[in-house]
Amino acid sequence: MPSSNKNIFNIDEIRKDFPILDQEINGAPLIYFDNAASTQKPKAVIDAIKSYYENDHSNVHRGVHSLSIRATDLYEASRKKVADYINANSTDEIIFTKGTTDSINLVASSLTKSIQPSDEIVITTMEHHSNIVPWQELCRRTGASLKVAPIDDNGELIIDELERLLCKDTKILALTHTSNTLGTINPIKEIITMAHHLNIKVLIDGAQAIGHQNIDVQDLDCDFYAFSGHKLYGPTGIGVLYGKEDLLNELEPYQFGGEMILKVTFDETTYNSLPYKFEAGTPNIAAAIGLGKAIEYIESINLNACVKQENVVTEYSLKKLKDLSNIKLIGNSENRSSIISFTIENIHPHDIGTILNQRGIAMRTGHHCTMPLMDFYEIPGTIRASFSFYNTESEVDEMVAALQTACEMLG
Amino acid sequence: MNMELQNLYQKTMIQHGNNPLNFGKPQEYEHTEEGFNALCGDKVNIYFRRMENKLINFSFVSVGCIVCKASGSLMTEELNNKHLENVATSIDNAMIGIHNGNLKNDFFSNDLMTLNQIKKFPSRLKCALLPWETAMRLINNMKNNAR
Ligand SMILES: Cc1ncc(COP(=O)(O)O)c(C=O)c1O
Repeated sequence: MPSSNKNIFNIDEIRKDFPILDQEINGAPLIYFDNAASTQKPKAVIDAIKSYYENDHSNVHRGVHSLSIRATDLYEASRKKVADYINANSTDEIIFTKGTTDSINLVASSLTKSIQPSDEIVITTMEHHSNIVPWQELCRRTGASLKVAPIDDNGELIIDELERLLCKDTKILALTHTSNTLGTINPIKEIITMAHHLNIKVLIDGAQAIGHQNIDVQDLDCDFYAFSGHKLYGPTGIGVLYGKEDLLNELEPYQFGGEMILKVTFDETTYNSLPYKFEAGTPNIAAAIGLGKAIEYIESINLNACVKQENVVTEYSLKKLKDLSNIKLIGNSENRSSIISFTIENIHPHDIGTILNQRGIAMRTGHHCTMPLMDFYEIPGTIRASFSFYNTESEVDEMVAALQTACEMLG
Repeated sequence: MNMELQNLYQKTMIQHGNNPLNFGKPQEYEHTEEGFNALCGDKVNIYFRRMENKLINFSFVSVGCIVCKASGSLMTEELNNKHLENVATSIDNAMIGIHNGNLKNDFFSNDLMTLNQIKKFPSRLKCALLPWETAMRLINNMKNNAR
């Protein structure tokens, strides 16, 4: 293994924390390069969920009995961990949801009554379907219009064009922090400042940024920040919507029922306070606890060290891929994350995916839920390698070898 | 090299996939239908004309993978000039055969047997079936419109 890997952290030990990595697929050691779709879970997270169900499970915020109190304490402790992790002002600003998609839908649905037909909502060309469709639907319900900020061939937002789109009618700017297809990290802090000059609220889709860089919502000054637990080494079925407290207070709840109420009569219902106003029904308690544990895990191995390792593998991979003559990178942003998309001349991504899988390499091929972006590049899909801190340069070598085989076989 | 993979991407598949027959939008066609695989973004367009009781000029366009294109190529070869009465049965049998990996050459061409390998790659079944499903929809539409 190249020497640049040393002095960062002990990757062999780190890999042992992830039981799933130790297996063979089609007779070859698993190489997991699909971390943008979902990350794997450290044993600490799996154990925390198991322990919760074995020892502490009951419903939350309901009972006076010990188990209910224990479950509630664990659930709320996780909320505190999330709040601290992204530097929220208070736990009231942390809404547990099912994931990024759910978080964005929450905001888009709850805004319905406050949007006029003359209003505009701005997104960008590089958004994931889950940061497109909820806004399209909001526009359909309200008569507002959806505007799309363009990108350039390198996969970077054209900031001047974005600035031109923003106007007094713009109510919401919703954009991704990091593109799940291009790897582009958008300069969201500057963009947020720009939008705030016009009094525009900004929602950041943080699905791909969380776990791959420090997030400080107060420093960013974003109005909403959405992410999924399963992309942060936590369980599926749990996500977070961060929102500024005053904004969340103004928003209407979007689901109704138990937990989110204070008082119900048949004539009238009083909503609960934050964050419970947005958490109707019994939540995914175990997953919330798992997410808290995942954050604890990341902090224990140090996020900065993780990012460093991811950058080493990304740089190495970019260099190796650029050496292959028939490969075209889709997304060449200066400021990029550990996601690399590419196409291979005359070969469809799907065929590559099958050949990689036969060599134990898990990579995503297709449109990555960004069909409008595929239209922009006029391609049916890409092959995507997305790395985590448990990936190594020797795994990249395996990928490159498999790509070479694929070209020989299919060309 | 892994045997199963070699069986999937054997010569017939590669040839038909990289240089599909009956490929391209014909200048004249009477019937057309688009098929779409939302999972991977693959797209197929099928065209044919009807001459008396036969389907002729069967052709297709696809931005799909090798498996999808090879399947479309083999399918159009198979169905071209078929009697309208038989074509739906052929498609049905082919789809079941692809699914189960037991297409037989007493019914279909030898080349079509290459699609028997898909069964071992379940994630690719949809790619192979897309042209056939689209053709089936087109034929059903045509029949319904004729009524
Ligand atoms: C940028 C981005 N936004 C949103 C999502 C949706 O996340 P989830 O499916 O967890 O709701 C994803 C997941 O792939 C993503 O990459």
